Amino acid sequence: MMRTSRRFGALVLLPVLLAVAGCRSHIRYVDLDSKPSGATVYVNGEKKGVTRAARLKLEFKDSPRVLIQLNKPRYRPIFQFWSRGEVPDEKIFMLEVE
Amino acid sequence: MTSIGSGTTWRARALTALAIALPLLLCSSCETLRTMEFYVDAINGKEEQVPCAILLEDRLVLGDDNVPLLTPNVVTVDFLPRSRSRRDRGGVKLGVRPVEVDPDGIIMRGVQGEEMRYVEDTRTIRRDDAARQLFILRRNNSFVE
Repeated sequence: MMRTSRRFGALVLLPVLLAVAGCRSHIRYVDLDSKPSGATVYVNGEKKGVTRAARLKLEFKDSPRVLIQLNKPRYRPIFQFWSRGEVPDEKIFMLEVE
Repeated sequence: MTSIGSGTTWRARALTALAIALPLLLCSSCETLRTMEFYVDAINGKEEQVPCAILLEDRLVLGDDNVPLLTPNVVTVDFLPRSRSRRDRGGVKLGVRPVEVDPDGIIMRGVQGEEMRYVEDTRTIRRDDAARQLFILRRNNSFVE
């Protein structure tokens, strides 16, 4: 009886644990740069720094993807959505003159 | 002996039902209609705010007074269940259309898609995207003052 209970207990707990594990916060880091440098970096609409932005922290706590935007006066602004698996170790954006 | 046996069977059945029901409940919770709010703002390259009419699926979002909702503002977006809607898989198209406003914030021009100093911008948002949606507008090089 005990073995049966344990087996079924495990069967109940497994999906719960898997669901909890899937909800846990994920953090990624990226070295961002642009050519030319000096572009303002926004993550999810919030200003995070200026290129070159070393070790930029990206949080995937509430969303499976983040919105990265670069802005520099007289250059065409850039925006990209990155999902957790798409975050590179480093990325250089080539800015085009407007 | 009989009572122990039936007790075990009952317990095993209850646990099996729970084991099946839990994942189903977890899945079904993801399949309900979700209404999300997004804060929409638009700036230019100099980080100055640019008044824009907000678009959802290429249509102007109207406020309570039936006039186009201007940035910065909060829009409510309904994301339909995945199984019933193609809209949720691809997301919802959110956009901003630059407009010219008078000092009282009344729209003077631009809402019909006239040539403006900045270019209209759109993106596809998903229900789990960040609540803050910032648009950095490109200059319209063909615009003549």
